[in-house]
Formats: sequence, C-alpha cells, structure tokens
Amino acid sequence: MEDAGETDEALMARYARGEVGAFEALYRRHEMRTWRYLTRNIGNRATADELMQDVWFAVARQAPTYRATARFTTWLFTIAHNRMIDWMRTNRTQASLESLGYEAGSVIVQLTAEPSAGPLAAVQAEEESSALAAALGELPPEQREAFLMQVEGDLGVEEIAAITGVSFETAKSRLRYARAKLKQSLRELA
Amino acid sequence: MSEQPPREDSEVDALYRRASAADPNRPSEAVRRAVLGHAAKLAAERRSPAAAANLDFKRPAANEARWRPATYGGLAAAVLAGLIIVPHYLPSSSPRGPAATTSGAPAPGARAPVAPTEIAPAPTAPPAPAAPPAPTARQLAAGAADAPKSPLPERSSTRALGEEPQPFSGYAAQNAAPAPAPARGELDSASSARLGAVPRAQARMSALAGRAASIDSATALRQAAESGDVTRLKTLLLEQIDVDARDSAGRTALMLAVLHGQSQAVDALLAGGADPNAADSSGNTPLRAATDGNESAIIEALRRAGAH
Repeated sequence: MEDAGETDEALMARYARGEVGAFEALYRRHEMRTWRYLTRNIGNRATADELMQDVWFAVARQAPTYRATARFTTWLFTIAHNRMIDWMRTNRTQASLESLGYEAGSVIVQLTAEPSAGPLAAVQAEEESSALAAALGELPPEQREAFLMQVEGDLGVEEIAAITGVSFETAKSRLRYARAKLKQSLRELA
Repeated sequence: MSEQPPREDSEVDALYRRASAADPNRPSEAVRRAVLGHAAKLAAERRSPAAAANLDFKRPAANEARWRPATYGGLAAAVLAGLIIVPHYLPSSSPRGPAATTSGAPAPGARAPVAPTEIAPAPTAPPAPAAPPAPTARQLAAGAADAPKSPLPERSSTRALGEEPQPFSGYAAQNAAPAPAPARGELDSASSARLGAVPRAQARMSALAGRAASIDSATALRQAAESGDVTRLKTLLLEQIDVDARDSAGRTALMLAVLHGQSQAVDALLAGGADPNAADSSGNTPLRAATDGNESAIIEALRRAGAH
C-alpha cells in the first residue's frame, strides 16, 4: 500500500477504518525512531523491545479513538514516555527518570558503524557512534529524554514540556543543557 | 518566549543522526511480527460487520463469532413459535393433519380429536409412529359415547369456529392408519399437552427477549459512557444491568469512558460499581489507558477506586 506523501494522521484514519496496510506504513515510518528513543533511554534492549511492543499495541488498539488534534508523533511519544514511566513503577524504580541507570556500553548505546560503508568510513562512523553513545550515557536522564524526544520525535519544546509534565522553560533548559553537554563530551572524547 | 526548540547546535544533532543512521541495531523481528500481527487482527475485527453489532459477551474467544448465537437463537425462536402457534390456525383437514391423511381416507369428522400418540412432544416434531396403537376397550366405549354426533367424512377446507387445530406431527404420519376416536380423557391430555407447549415457548421467547434487552442496555450504557451522557448513564445504571458488560474488544463502559476522556462518566460508572481494573481483551486496563491519554483527573478517580 502506497504511503508516500500521506500524513501520519491520514494513515491512522485509514487504519482505524480497518486498512492494515496503513498501519504497516506507519510502523515502518516510525519504527526506528521509537525504538531508538526507548533503547537509548532505558539502556536495556530486552526491556526496550518489550516496551516497543506495548507502545505499538496501544497505537493499534486506540486507533479508533485517535483524533488528530495533535500530531501523531506527539501522541506516539506520549505513549512511549508513559510506558517507560509505567515500566519504572512496575519495576519498583522511582517515577522520575533520574533513577534510570544508563548502561553505558550496553548493546543499545553501542552505535556501531555500518560495516558495508568501507573500512575508513566504518572506522570513522564507529568512533563517532561510540563517542556519541558515551556522551548520551553521561547525560542526566531527564535531559537525555528531552533530547531524544526532539531528535527522534522531532517534537517542539512545548510538546516535550506537555509530555514530560514540566514547564516550557524547564523543557527548553533541559534541551539546552543536553546539547551543551553532548558537545563538550564529544570534544573531550575527540 | 520562543516557541521554537533551541536547535542552535545543529552539529550535535547532525552527529547524532549520522551515528543513528549507521547503527545496525534493530528491534527484534519477534516484536515486529507481534505488532503487525496484532494490528492486522484488530483491523480485521474493525472491518467485520459483527464489530458494528457491538454485541456483548464475556468470553473474548467468542468475539469473532459473537453474531452466531444471536442469529441462530433468533431463528430457533421463530421456528419454535411457528411450530407451536401456526398449527392452531391451520384447517383441521390440512394435509399436515396426521389423522386426516391416511391413504386418502377421510377423517372421521371435521372435529375429530387427535390421538395422544399424534401429539408432537417436542418443537422439532419427530416422526409419528407408522400406525397408532389399537384402541382399548375403554377407549372404544368412551369414544362411542363422545363421538361427534354428525361425523363428517369429508375433509373440510376451512376450520370451523372453535375447532381445535391439528398439530403437525411429521409427514410420516400422513401414511398412518386412521386414528380411532379417542376418549374424553385422552382429549384432555392432548389438549393439555398442546396448551402446555405454548407457555413453554412463550417462556423461552421471553427469555430470549430478556437477553436481547440486556444486550441493548449494555450497548446503550457503553454508548452513553463513550459520549459522556451522564444523565443517560445514571438512568441506565438504575436498571439491573451488568455495568462491566464488554464490547467486541472486551472493553467495558468504564474503559470506553476513559478512552474518550469522559471524566464525569468515569465518576458515574465507578459510583455505579464498575470494576476499575477490568482489562480489555488486549490486557489494557483503564488506568493504563488514562495514563496514555494524560487524563490526570481520570487517573486520580481510578486510583481512588482502587485501580492499579
């Protein structure tokens, strides 16, 4: 089913009418960004897989009640954020992302290079990936989540603030600190 | 206040994107299969006309075929009613009248009573015996006393006023021997059997109607919950209906109210005894749905009601 040029919201509307192809297009479009958001926040691939399934089950289930009053990605990342908080509560961790231990060096933060890109490019990409992974791991969880929401979900400050339940200024501050620290870490690692 | 995200450091973003693009890690294939399989299943349910019927059954396994009990139940009720009631309006000389169709022989009379063996014991009308039992001496004596004063050998095409209809006892009875005139006692028991079948049928139809009404009320409850019609909701809650009745996806009225952000409906349903932890057929609970929707008032109400 052709989905080029069709908005996420239109695909959702089609899926709500029972067109499974629309859902598959939507899933293909957002699969990696959802998964990276989860894995790089949670720090555990198995848990991220589990949450990934939960998130997309919820998307499928709630499609008939979805109203395009907000962007689909905002809704999607709201579900992903809430699932993450649920998981932390269930696992007796604190509700705040500050309690989330980031397993630097784990599978999900190893942004390894594409082996088919050639030896030199592969080495360079691997170095960059490792450096970024390490830098992400050093970020405070709430800053990391805000940054990941923006780069993966392409969300605005206002949307991030609404999803995470903080003020606009707080969200903006988290993003600014996150980028500043990433930049500094990358320089140091370089 | 700037409404745009601070993206002054595009260098970091560019590095992140480059690294992510080169990242070979992917979600497990099992996750993809599970997600797409689940989505396909839900899509199929939404496409099916049965989903629109929104019938209510507790067993999720019955959801896909939930129209069958209603349809076949309705047909069975109609057939039952037909078998019981229609013979009362058929002429006594109807070809279906077992006593009147014996190798073309005429019945003893238009009001010829029906032998007990010819009464259909069940709605499904089993075949009548090939021949009726020979009359006993007492039956013959009583029959002589109670026989119609003017036996009409001809088969009347219309039923006389007050004439008893002949129940259908199967086509096999058409070849049966002519029935002797039964005694009064046998007439009474035959009539009782016939008359007793009517209340039973009525009771069954009444039960079916009650079930249909219950389904309608449950559907109305969910619709009221979904639309936030609290007045209607409270009226329905006064009826003796199952507040936790589910739709085709296993969703209760409470779950639908949560999914539609109807906090007042949620309050009314919880006050009406709705189960705050009733999950749908996918395992989604009202609290989880409320959390997904960032419905803080509903989350609070559910937690107060014991949701977890």
